[in-house]
Amino acid sequence: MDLTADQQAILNGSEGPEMALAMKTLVRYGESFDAQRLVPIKSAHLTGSFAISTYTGYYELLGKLVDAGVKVKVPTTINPRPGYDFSMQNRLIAFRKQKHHEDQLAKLGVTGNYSCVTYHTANVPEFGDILGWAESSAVVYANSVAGARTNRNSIMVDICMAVTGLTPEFGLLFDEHRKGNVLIKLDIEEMDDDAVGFIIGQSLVDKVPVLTHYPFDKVQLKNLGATMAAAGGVGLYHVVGVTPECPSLDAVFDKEPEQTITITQKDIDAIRWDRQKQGTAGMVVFGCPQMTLDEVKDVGRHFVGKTVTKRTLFHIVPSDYEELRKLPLHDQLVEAGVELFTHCPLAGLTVRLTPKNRHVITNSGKLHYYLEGGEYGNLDDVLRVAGVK
Amino acid sequence: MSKTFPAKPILKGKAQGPALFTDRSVNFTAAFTKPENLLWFKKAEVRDRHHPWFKENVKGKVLVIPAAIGSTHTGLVLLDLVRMKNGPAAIIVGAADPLLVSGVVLSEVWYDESIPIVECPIEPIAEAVKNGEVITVDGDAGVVSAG
Repeated sequence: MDLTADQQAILNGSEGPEMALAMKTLVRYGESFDAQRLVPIKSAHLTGSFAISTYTGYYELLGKLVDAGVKVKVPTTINPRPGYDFSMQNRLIAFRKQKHHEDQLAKLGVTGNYSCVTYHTANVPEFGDILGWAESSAVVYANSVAGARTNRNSIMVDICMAVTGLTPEFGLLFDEHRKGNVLIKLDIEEMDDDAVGFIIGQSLVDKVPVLTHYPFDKVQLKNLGATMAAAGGVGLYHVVGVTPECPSLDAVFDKEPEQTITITQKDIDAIRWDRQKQGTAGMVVFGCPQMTLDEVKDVGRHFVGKTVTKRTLFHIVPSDYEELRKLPLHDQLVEAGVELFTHCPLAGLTVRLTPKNRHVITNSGKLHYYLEGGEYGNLDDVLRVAGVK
Repeated sequence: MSKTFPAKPILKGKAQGPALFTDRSVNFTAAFTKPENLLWFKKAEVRDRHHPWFKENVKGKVLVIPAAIGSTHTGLVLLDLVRMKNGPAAIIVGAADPLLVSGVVLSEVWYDESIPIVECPIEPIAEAVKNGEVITVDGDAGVVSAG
């Protein structure tokens, strides 16, 4: 790899042994993908916000950087909290070192926005920006909807990028890797963006899918991409006439698509949990990725004036939760029995000890993919199980 | 007779172990961050119910996979599995991606403990080598061999 004099100096230890290793991580990572150089990033977003007590290596490395007084060189945001106070098992077992971990991140100079929907207000990418981001749902949004450029970077590698302000140049940073591979046609009567994303993710891996035109809004694009990324490693998708790099099919296909997949209403309905079993869910979970205020308003209106008959959890972007608190809707949701949180539902619910809560129902395709016992329902299903429809 | 397959070296090193095949890509985060993985003897047990390897232990095996799905916590998992020698012996992947490689790079750079990763079409290997048969990965020369 071709390093500048400054980069070579850091690699040789000019900023200390820890920075040398951070630089070496990026060089070795880049070399594995034949990157020729390291390029500056405008911002970083870190995925490693949870102090997961079963793992130690990541926290040791973060500790080495903090102890050496290293700071981030670019604006750096961070994923949601894990729900330390959500349950006793989270506080005492799964995330018992959470407070210490958050102190470490603050010492490194990380902005404590604690959201995976970081692109919404905390760290807004612009078209063409080069980023050093982790968190698959944020990466796919930044690439697809904002038209910025970032690879799907790993935990800890993201910190190496933040403290050097650099990323190896390969993959999604180049035009040729941003073209479409697979054409997705939709033959459906009722849009269910999470189910569509789940099917796309299960049908392909590490490809760039291109969807024929559908007027998805920002919230749908967020949830569609997050589910594709979780189930299929998608880092970039296009929607004709909606996403910025895809005004037309010709703009993203130089040649015929490798594959064409048609998603039907039947495919979408097959993702839903057996209607007969839906009533056995221990709770109803919304917000993976976290809900924005628009999403809370859209889903929340179904709860106003009603009372839930099943435990119902909303997980909201922390800054949007602060906005929600100023609105009458906040008290109306609380009155309806909805529990409002700002942490990550996956982390919060991973350790569930009571058998009653074994199954939960969610309209999040991403949470359905990751959470053991997380069953999928479309919006109608989950509202019905919650007892408000 | 020994069977050999050329492969592109992604991360260097030599290793041997029983082959574990799948034609389904693997999500390392979904596989290894479940409550069961809290138990020391289940650290390397796949707990992703969406994957055919569900309940399979990958320790010491040579994984033969089409691709890794992610997610971005893959590095958290592989860093610990590799540096503590709890993980796979080597990985043969159809298409290498940043997340799979990062976890092993982190262990290599910060803990001096690594496993080879090579990239090559996996179908010919799957046709010629049985699941569980001992397979050798040479990440320096770029060769996979069995028998």
